[in-house]
This record gives sequence, structure tokens and C-alpha cells, in this order.
Amino acid sequence: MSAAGLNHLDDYQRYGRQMILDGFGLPGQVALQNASVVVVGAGGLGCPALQYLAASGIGRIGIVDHDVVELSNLHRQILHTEQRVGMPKAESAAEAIRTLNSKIKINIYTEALSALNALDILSSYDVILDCTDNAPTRYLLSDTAVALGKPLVSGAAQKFDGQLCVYNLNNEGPCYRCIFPKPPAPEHAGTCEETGILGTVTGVIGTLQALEAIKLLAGMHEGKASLLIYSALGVPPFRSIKLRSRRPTCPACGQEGLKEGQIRDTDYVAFCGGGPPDWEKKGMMQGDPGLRITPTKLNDILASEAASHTKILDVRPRTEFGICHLWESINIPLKELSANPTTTASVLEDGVKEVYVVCRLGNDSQIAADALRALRRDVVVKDVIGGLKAWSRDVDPDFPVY
Amino acid sequence: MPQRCCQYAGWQLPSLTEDYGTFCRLRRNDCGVTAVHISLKVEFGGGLELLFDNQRSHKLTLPARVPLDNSTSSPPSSPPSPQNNEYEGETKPVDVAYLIHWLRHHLLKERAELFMEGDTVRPGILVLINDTDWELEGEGEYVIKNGDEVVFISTLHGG
Ligand SMILES: [Zn+2]
Repeated sequence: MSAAGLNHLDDYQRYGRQMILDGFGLPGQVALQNASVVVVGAGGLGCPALQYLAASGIGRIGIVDHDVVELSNLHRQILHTEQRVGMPKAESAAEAIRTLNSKIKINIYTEALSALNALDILSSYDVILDCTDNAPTRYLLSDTAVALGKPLVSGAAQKFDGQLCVYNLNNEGPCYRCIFPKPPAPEHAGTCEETGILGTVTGVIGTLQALEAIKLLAGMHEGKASLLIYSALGVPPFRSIKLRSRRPTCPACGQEGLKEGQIRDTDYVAFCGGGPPDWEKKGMMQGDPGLRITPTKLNDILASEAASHTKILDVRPRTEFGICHLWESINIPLKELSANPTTTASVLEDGVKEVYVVCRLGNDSQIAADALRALRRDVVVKDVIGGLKAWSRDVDPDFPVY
Repeated sequence: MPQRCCQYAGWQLPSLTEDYGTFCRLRRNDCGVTAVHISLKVEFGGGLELLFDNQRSHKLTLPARVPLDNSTSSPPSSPPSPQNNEYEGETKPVDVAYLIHWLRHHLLKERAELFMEGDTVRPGILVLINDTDWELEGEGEYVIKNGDEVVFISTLHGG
């Protein structure tokens, strides 16, 4: 076999359908065979990306992820299985793609990517895929890709929306910092857990990330920096945006002498405002016993005579209330309550002496209870510590947790 | 489009026998203004639509000339009529900076801090003018033209 051929005879058969494409050909397949790609994040974006990269015959694939597989991942993280719940995602994904293509080399990294290890981990790969779910890692990956002179294929997805962009394209295109010089406050940067995500939306974007990587490696990329925006419910669903060029003043990729500010080595989490709040922990804070109540105590009250003059107010969005709720509760979403507190207060008819406010984790309920207390001095208003999640844990294990 | 211009300004429509073109030219000559209004499409994405009544797409009509200081007291339904100009102060052609202020005061339903910071959009929001990064178009100083489309999207982080 010649040096510019495929490693195995049956590879010609295996990759034949893409090799016969004009513009791809044997050189394209050889390029993939000799290439290495690292996928950071083996979640909703990483799984479909890894699947297609492995199937396409990329020679070496790195998988970076420090999380373990959870049941709530499976609707979108399609390489993981029920049997592998609890296993590190990087290992689970490696197992899946090894079954798919036994000839490719796979490297697994189960530690969290940080400023300390990013250069080491990423330097041996040709293309980096950003399949992560948080702002600090996105900045870290961008800076590292610029430092290493490698293209960064970045994907993101939330709800029904997705975004795709190749940063540092050909070492000429803008980096993530050029486009987003300042990070959003952590409470503005939603996560899949808080805001929800349709599984197939990550599938679309992750698959496109694999496609961009393949185009780059096979020399088929048009070389223009653009941002692709996808809205599953939009008409039309795709929109391609012409992007600015590099910022000469960008602290990462700008011109020497013009760079404004510097990247400290730094704690990326601090740069992004301290990381996402731990809502579950916040919701569990005991607080003033006059203001908050445990699920167990609420259960006692509901079983007592006091139940007749007690109301449970559920302030979750209507869609979430529709998933599951305490049968005796009424639903007024926090949004509506905040917009119109007086109406809410008047909903509570006269006989009511006690109101217990509940939400999913016990954060929104505190805000709602405060608002209500200010308007109805005549009733006792308390909110439930830890919300419905705690209710399920402490009172009724049959109550669904989502 | 002259008909549209008259409609938005709240002038009486000509009778069917009158010629629209002539009517509008006459009216415009009256006040010396060539285009009273600019129609544009505004879209929100990446979660920003939640701040705007969960509606992604909006069709707007803004005055062609607006206060230099971006004050947006006049809603589009009652634009400054040429005969009775409400704006005493200095004006400029309507631009994206004005649009941002206008959206904040007239279309935004909640939590302004998720849309604006200081005088512009908050970090993490990308503004696109006719599918081009607004930085290539002069950012807030871009003068809006009839039929333009301005998109505001929030950067996503999930995966
Ligand atoms: Zn840059």
C-alpha cells in the first residue's frame, strides 16, 4: 500500500461512499485517518459529534469530560446508555465509539479542563471541539486554541436554539473574546438543567460541529468566519451571520502592542463572575423559621385540622406545574405574581389563614413569599425549604423529580 | 412608499379619485420631510424573546428623525407630526442606539438588566443588522433604513 493510502484494505470499502465524493476523494479520507480531534464535553453536543467523527474515520479522538452519566442526560446524550449511568462520561462515550469503529485511537481525560492542564491536553490535536456547557470553559478553550494556533469549533444549545461558530479559523478569524469581550453574569447564562433543552437540538448542532471539523481537516472549509444560528421553531430555522474580523485590541488574539488588558492565568470562573449559583443548595437554606417551613412540617399541617384554612401556592411556570404538582395546590407562576402582586393576593379568599409557597428547589418560592407577605399581613405566609424536590425526598418518594 | 408614509403620519387618506402619488408628494412638500417613518423588523433569539412577551419577531415603525439623546417618550403610534413637531431639541436620523432605547422603553416586558447595561446591550448579546455583525456596520451609529432587519441574540452556553 502506498504511503498516501488507507491503513487497511477494508477501509476502502468502509469509507467508499464518502471517498467517491468529488472534492473529498482518497486525499480527504487519508487526511481524516491522519488527523486528531479533541472533543471537550461528552454531553448533548459531544455525543453526536463524537459519533460522526468516529464513524468518519478520524485517526485519533480525545474525549475530555469530568462528569458522570446521569439518567437525566440520556434524552440527548445519545452515546450513553441506561447500563452506564454512574460511569464517567468520557469512558462511556469512548466505549460507545469503540464499538462503532475499533480501528481509531481514543484518548480519555476524566479530569476537569482548567488553565493548568488545557495546553497539555489540547496541544497534540489538530482541531478542538467546544462541546461544553459553561462560559468559563468557553473562554479558556478559546484562549488555549489561540495560544496553540488551532481552530476551535464551538457549539452551544439551549431550549430550541443552537449556535455554531469556528473561532480562530486559519489563525486569522476572530476568537470567542473578539465577539464576546465581556462574559455575561452567571445568572444570565442559563444551563440545560435550569432552562431545558430539546434533545434533537443538541443533535443538530453537535452533528454540524463534526461536519465543520471534517471540512477543516479535508481542506474543504470556505475559510470565512461566520456564526450559524439555529432556531428549531424558526422559519427558516437556520441563519448565517457574517462576523467581524479580529479585534486588534483583543487580549487573546490581538496585535502585540495594541492588546487591551491581559488574561490572567487565571481563574476563568472568577472572570465569569464566580460560576453558576448552586440553586439546590441555596433553596435548602433553613432561613428564619417564621418565614420558611420544612416539607415534613408542612405535611403535618396538611394532615391536621389547620388544612381547612390552608392554601398551597405553587409558583413554578405553568408547564412545570403541568408535569406534576401537589393535588391541593394552586398555580400562579412567579412571573405573573411579580407583574401583578395585588391580583395574586386577592386570589386568596377570606377563610385562608395560612399560605405555603412552593417551587421546584425553594428559591423562587422565597421571592414570591416575600411579595405576598408585604400585601397580606392578615395571613401567615411561609415557603417550603428545598421545594418539591425536598418534598419528594422527605415526604412522598412517589412524587416525581424532574 | 408614499401611501404608507401618509398612513403612519395619521393624515387623511385621499379619496379614491385622487392620485395617491400626487397627494403624498404634496403633503411631503408641505412639511419638507421626505420620509417620516422607517419600518423595520426586529427579532429576538437565544432566550431574549422571553423578555419581549415571548415573541420572536416584531414589526416596528419608528420616526425617521429621533432625539439626539435617545429619549423615547413618543411611542410610534403617535409620531411627531410634521405640522406639530413634538421634538424641540436636536435630532438625528433613527439609528440602532435609539432602537435599543426604544425597545427597552416600549417593548420590553421585564428585567431590563437582562437586555441593557449602561447605554447599550448587555455583554453576551450579539446585534445583527441584516445578517451581519453590527460591528461591521458601525454598531449603534448605524442609521436604520426602511425594511432593515435587526436581530438581537443572546449567546448560549448550554451543551
Ligand atoms: Zn480575539
